[in-house]
Amino acid sequence: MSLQLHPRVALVTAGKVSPVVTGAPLEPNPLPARRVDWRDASDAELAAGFADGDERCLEESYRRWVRLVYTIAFRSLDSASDAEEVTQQVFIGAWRGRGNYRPSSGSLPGWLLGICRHRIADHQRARSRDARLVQTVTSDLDVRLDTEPIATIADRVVLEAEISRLPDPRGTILRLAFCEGQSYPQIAERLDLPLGTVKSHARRALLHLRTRLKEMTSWPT
Amino acid sequence: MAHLNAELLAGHALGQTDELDAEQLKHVASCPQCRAEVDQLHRIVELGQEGPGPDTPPIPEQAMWRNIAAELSIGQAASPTPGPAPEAGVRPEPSQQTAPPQGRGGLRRGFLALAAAIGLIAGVGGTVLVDNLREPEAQVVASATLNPLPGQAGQGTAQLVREGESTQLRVSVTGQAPPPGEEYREVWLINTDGERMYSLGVLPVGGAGAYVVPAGLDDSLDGFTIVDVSLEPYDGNAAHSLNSQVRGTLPV
Repeated sequence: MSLQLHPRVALVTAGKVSPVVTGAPLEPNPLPARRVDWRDASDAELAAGFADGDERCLEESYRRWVRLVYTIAFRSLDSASDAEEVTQQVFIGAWRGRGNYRPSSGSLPGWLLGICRHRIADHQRARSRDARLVQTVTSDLDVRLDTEPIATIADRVVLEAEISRLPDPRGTILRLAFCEGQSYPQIAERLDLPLGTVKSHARRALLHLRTRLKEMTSWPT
Repeated sequence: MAHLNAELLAGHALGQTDELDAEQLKHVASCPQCRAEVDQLHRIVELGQEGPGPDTPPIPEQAMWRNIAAELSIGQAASPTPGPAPEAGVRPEPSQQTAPPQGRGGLRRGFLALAAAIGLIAGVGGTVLVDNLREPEAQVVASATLNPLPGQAGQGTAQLVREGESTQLRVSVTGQAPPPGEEYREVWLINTDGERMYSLGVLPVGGAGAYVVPAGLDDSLDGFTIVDVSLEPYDGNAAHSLNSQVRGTLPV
């Protein structure tokens, strides 16, 4: 009998087929294209290659942003298996829908995170629907409606990643100010830097974070 | 006076108000545009001050990538190596370096099995001879004929299949598929109490699908024995459209 599997079911099925490829090295592919290693590409170059349909750009995009996508999904859904499903859907959907992506309209990670937010919302809707239907009998309140907005979770995850990526001394200054609540004079003394320098680093770091946050999370829906 | 520059506004949001003179402070307090910018920057400060969020579990980067690559028929399901800079609060997948090296034959077979499971081998549509892959102990527990509702055309079958721990519902509907882009079909399990139902998922255009039955139901499915295939408009409403094409009851 021949069955056509719905993509969602297909992914579930795939999860059950366990030990497949365990990191065995593949023979290197001949590289027909212009750029040999996308790892060195800027985000913008990668976005252009992605839009052009270069598969290796999908792979590199996955390498750069899978943790971001997964972490947002996990914190929104509080389930590892749902986060995995969403993450796979995001990259599969992004690749299949790459014709809709215009690098001029926004960054590639911003687009990926936009898709991520939609897939998470789909999951949350399905859950609350299941919960509502099941709870018609017990008439419990649906507590899932209180969950934090996905956008806030996404902002926080992106910020964490960006702060961890700030070069020193900017990164250290911001972490001391943000996480440890230290005053600027305390930080200046601790890092042996002039007070004005410390404050200026903090200001520029904040402006940088604002720019990155905007690039990463403001894809028009 | 003129608006404050970005750096002064950032300083304001960071509490460095001693950097601003009295006139500038007064301006921020009264100018909606500068105020909005400070608020926006201050929100980032507040999010940052909350510190790193909870750790995620180890991320199965390579396993997910293999699924993605196989689903999209790209590459040879090669694994991208993890990036150099882990992000905050995120633990990378435990290294798989310790796995014993595999011969190319094993790799190939593994990939074929994965590809077949995802419906890759038979082509883009994802059609696959599921029976060839099934464990021999897969058992049809119950089956039902799905009959058209008044005014509807079509006929179908539903099979409840138990395979080890998991139970699947295989649904196949013959007859005209709804016009693509206008409607799609969705498979439901409805309780005989008439009050509760589960959505199992979308029925592919081909008319056949396999669905994992919700876990935790007993041998008689806790009463969720009515298999229903509905016609759903693309209206963003996740609830049942109340417009069913075919329906039948599993004798369990």
